[in-house]
Amino acid sequence: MKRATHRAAGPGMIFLKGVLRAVEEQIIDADGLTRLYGENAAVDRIRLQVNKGEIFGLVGPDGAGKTTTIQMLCGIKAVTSGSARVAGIDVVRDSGRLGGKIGYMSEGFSLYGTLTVAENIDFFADLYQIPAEARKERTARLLQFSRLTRFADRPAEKLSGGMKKKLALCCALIYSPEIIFLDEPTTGVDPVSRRDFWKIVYNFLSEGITVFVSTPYMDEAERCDRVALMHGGRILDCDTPRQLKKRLPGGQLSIAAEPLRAAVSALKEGGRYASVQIFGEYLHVVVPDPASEQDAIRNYLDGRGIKVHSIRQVEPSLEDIFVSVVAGETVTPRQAKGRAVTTEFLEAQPLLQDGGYAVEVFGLTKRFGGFTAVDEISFQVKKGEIFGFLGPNGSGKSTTIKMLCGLLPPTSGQATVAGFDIGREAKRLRPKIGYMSQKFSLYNDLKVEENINLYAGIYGLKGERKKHRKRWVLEMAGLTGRESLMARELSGGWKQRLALGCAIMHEPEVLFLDEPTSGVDPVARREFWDLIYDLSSRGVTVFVTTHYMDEAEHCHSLGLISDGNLIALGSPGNLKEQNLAGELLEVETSRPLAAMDYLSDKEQYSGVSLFGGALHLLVDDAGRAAPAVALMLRQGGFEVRRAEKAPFTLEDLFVALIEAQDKRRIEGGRSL
Amino acid sequence: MKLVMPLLRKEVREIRRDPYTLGIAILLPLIQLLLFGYALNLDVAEIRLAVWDQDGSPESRAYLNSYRNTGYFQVRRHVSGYREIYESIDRGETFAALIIPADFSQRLLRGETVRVQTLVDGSFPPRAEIAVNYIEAVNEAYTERLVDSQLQKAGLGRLQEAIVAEPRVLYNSSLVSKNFIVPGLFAVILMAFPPLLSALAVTREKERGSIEQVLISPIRPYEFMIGKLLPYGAIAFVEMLVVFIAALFLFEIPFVGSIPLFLLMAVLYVLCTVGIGLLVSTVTSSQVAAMLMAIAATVMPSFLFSGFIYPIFNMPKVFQVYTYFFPARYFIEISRGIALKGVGLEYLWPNVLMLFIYTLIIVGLASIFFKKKVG
Amino acid sequence: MLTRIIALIGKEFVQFFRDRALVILVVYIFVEIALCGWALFLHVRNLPIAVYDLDRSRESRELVGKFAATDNFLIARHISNERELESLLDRGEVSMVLVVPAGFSRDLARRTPARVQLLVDGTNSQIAKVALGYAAGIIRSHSLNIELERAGLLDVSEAGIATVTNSIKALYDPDLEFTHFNMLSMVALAAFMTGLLLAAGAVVREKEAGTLEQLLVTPISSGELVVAKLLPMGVIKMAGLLLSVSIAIFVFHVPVKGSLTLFLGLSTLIFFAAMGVGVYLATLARNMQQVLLLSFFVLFPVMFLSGTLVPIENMPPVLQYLSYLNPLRYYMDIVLGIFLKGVGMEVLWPQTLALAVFSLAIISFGIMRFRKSLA
Repeated sequence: MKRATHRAAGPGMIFLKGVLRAVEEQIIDADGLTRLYGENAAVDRIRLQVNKGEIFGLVGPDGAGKTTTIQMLCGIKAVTSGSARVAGIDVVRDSGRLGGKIGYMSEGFSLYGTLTVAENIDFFADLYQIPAEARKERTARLLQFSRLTRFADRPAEKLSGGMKKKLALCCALIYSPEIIFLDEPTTGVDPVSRRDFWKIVYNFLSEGITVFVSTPYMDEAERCDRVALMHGGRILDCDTPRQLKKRLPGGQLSIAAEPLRAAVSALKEGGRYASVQIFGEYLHVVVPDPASEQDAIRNYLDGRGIKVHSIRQVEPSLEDIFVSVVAGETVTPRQAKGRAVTTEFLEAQPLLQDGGYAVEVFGLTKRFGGFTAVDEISFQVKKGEIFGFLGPNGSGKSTTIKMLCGLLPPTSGQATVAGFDIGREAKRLRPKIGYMSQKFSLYNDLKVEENINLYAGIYGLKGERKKHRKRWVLEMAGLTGRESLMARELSGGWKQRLALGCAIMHEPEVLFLDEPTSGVDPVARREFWDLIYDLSSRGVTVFVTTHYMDEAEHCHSLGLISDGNLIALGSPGNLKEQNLAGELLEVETSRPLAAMDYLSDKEQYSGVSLFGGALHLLVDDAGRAAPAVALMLRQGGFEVRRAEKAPFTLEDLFVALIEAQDKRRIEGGRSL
Repeated sequence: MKLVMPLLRKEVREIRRDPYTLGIAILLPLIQLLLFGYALNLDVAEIRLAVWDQDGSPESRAYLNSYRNTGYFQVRRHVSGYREIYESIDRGETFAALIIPADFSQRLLRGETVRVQTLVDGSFPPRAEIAVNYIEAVNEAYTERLVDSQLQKAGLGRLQEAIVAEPRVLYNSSLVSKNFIVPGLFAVILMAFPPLLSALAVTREKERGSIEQVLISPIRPYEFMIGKLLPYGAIAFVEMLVVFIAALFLFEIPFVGSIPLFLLMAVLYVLCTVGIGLLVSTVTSSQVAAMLMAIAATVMPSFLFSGFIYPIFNMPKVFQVYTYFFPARYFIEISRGIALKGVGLEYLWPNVLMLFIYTLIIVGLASIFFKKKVG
Repeated sequence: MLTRIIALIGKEFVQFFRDRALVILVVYIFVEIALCGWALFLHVRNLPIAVYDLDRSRESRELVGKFAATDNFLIARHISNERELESLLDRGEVSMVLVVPAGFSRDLARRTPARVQLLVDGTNSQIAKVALGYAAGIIRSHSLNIELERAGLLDVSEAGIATVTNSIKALYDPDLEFTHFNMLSMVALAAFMTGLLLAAGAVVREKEAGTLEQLLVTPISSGELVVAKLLPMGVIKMAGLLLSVSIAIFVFHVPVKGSLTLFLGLSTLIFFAAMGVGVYLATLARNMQQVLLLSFFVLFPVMFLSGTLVPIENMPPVLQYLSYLNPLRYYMDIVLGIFLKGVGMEVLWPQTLALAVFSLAIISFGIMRFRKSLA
């Protein structure tokens, strides 16, 4: 057919050829695609077109229907109605022929744990019958990019979470599919591994592979060519990130003020501004007219005794777009609950502002057989502080938390939590702490109310107090009126809040949260952090681990752990100052992934990294470097939209510290 | 079919890395064999008797000796009252009690009929039934001798045996129960573990989500099924060999038929049992559910409704039909036929045919139900 | 502390009834008990036999008539040639062939011993033995009648000839129908099996879901957790037991000679023993698959060395000693003792004590390992 058109290239045919080309270039063409579960539409008549060779992002809150959409496009989920063609194949009728044309990395970990890294890759190469020669070359390349070469003979189950994800990607890329579907591929993965992950994706893009990715990380969505916003089974909007951002009404102001929290509550007061968010050390406020409102805000805050350091207009991020679109669409138990929480908790919780330490750790060590998971760490956490505990996957964060909660006996060293020794006084310690593990740890087969009742009973709450606390948990989680839903029917954000509610039902002094927001959508994450702030301001010490560096910015102090060693400790600001020399140059450009690749070939900029949709370069003097870099990029055929000095982010710090540590380790000849 | 090899290699690697499961897979059948072989012994070796001899005469002692002399009875206890009898049987100390009335010798001499009473522990009827047979036989033999001697005394000549029964036991002529149990065990043991393992092997992939990767690959359902069928079939066959060798050398089963034929049939049966596991796995999504279904569909029926211990002719008609739904029935007949009777396909072909058709249907259904969809 | 336990107990109940797989399992077990009582017999009733009558005389028909008159045998075929005879037995269509040779009536008339042959299929040794016993008995008594007739003694007692009749009575299960034993052993087995599987499954499921970890950071102690898990299950299982015992009593007329209250009371002990084993196994296993396999590993020996399937007295001494470690053995004694023998604590106290000690020990072990191994 194709050949025939080439030969008979009359004027009419040229037109036809154009049409055909257009059709061909759309690797995904779905129309009216619907999937019903009983009466409920998980995916509701969506229309999707994805061009060949692009990175297409699908973002949306939990339960929006992203996974169902991907599974239908992969031909492994039955379609209720509508049509979809993927790589030229009708997935509704002919999904059997898709095999070999598509790659799919599901949300769950889907490798064979007992097989080694190399064997897993080999199995997939076998499945797709990659010839031995090509296989060898490709495997070597994939392993190198994912930095898994050293671990080729390690069973997959012994890898850290981040490495597992990278391996899964390697397996999906071994056979060069036409399109690869990635369903939340980097959920729960540390920033360094996430960078590696995207490097692999990018490197294989040059083969013409189309990437279809769903992600809860908005910075990842920023680097997609086009993004579709999905909510309630429908696609609300679909465009390039740049165009999407233009749709935010008004503009966004970034404010540096002191004290920051007071500024937030002042601006939120009386519904003055709907969207006020802490973003690192800054406040982001969405206003109808940014130019005129700057002074008004400065005066307003001054009048409240809040010192304003700076106000400037900033470009909204995709996350802001997401929040505004989703907030506009969501029915609002979410919004209503903010105030209720604050007042209720105030009544119940005595203020603990007497100073002193809530957590003290000295030389804490945990060994499993010959493997040292936590290696003589020592630190202290002040009462009422939010302590962020950061580190790559498998560095010993969860092990530390489990020891502090009295779940795991330490091998050596000691620690006190809320004044009690974690070993000797574990029984007396337990009523003082709350704990929320990585996995949803409530009963899926119990109703919301039953879960709450269970924990109320376990903590011995009775009568009025029980009723009071129950109502508080329901309101806080925004679950009032949904008491009789089964816990498994809740979406991710609700589950997390319910789990939090149950963990703090008994008003603990110290709260341990192990990746509480992993895989939760941005709106839910913001709300969750509002709660954490509230708790902290009431004197509860919060000990939290996270892979979201923007969340880490919200912490009072941070500890960074790598391979069981504590490698940095201090406030976010101090840490950045002490550990990052030089200045940060932020460059916004077209085709950021390609631009990064282009720059990393130039020796002086080899440290270039991707941050959201922009590039970050570590330079001595940002002012001098900016024009040089811009010129270089333009010569490479890239459009440079912005190149300016920017404040260091925690992600820069995290990556710098971990990479330095890795380097030391490799140079020191220590192997894992 | 090209894609079967990679699947096979992957399965073999996975199995090898999981020595725990593999160990249990090989070890459990052996333990089961030992337990069944040694513990499932229905033979009645010795009947322990309690005796209440109210007469205490030479005649009553002679009567008692006629039991002792058979070698099947052992007098454990002399008692003097029902209470002691019940107590002794209740506690399981004795199995039966013989009560000889006080006028035993008196009535004998008067030429009257004497009534002796025997109480047997009926709590495990199979044993009781055999014991009752023995006791009746001894009593009748004694009576016959008694009548004969009286006739002689009266000058009426001797009793001449009218009919002589010549029992001939074909096949398991020693009538040892292990010879009957063990060949049946092959069928039961292979129904217990291979389906379970294969059902778990697939549902585990479903639970873990690794099956999704396989679903989107060019692999066809039947290739996937064969990829699972062969390695687990091989494990099951090894189980079979282990059990078979143990049966021959440990239990010294006289195997009269053709061993190659038997092994060939075992391969067929093994494919069938593993196939059942796969079929179960296609309709369940969790390991626990798969386990329960596998047990419900395989272990219990093959134990109870296959003729393994409980003879099929004893069952109500409905259940006789019911037994045809479980392949263990066919293989038990094949196995016992070859091992004990030494017969070949000329007699066994209907069972073999049924088993073959059954296997085809099972594997076929499994391939059909194994949709390349997640839900 | 009480609020804590009550909260947990409530949760267990709700979860149990929401879990369809578990409810189905429990129902399945009841159905199975009913099936066993209805369908499984080990006695010889209506055993299919064939008759090969070469004599075709009045006398031979008389003998065959005796076989037809009992309910032990069912004459399924009359055959007319040697070949048919062999193939019938080989194919297992009949289990015994009565061969009356030509010249049977002639021998009888000549008063020389007339021979008949009994060809028995010995594959099922148990059935073969019992069948032979019955057949020999029929022939012997027929023969004796003829002999006495020849001696002119139509009525022995009138002629002043002494005979001994032995009236044999089976205690506990007078009809030796096996139903009673079967039902009770299934009740006992079900009590143990479900207890172990439910408890092990429930603990491991929480471990896998991470919910256990959450509970362990609360002020609950391991002891409270275990007790709160076991109590509601005990109640649910007690309901199940009542149901199955009612089926046994009202549908299958199993007698209750002893105290039902005592039975129910002592049953709680086996529940706790079984659930204790389940919890202990759960602390050993890492995931559902392992715990299920482990459970089977344990269940098989427990089942065999308990006397539920076959009497322990028949086993080799080593296994008999091992069986003293088995809680189900004691419970089986208790069940049979109370239902069939009507005994009470005066006889059953050693078993009760052993069971109590076992339950306490295993639950304590479980609690001790709980926090260490499950966090």
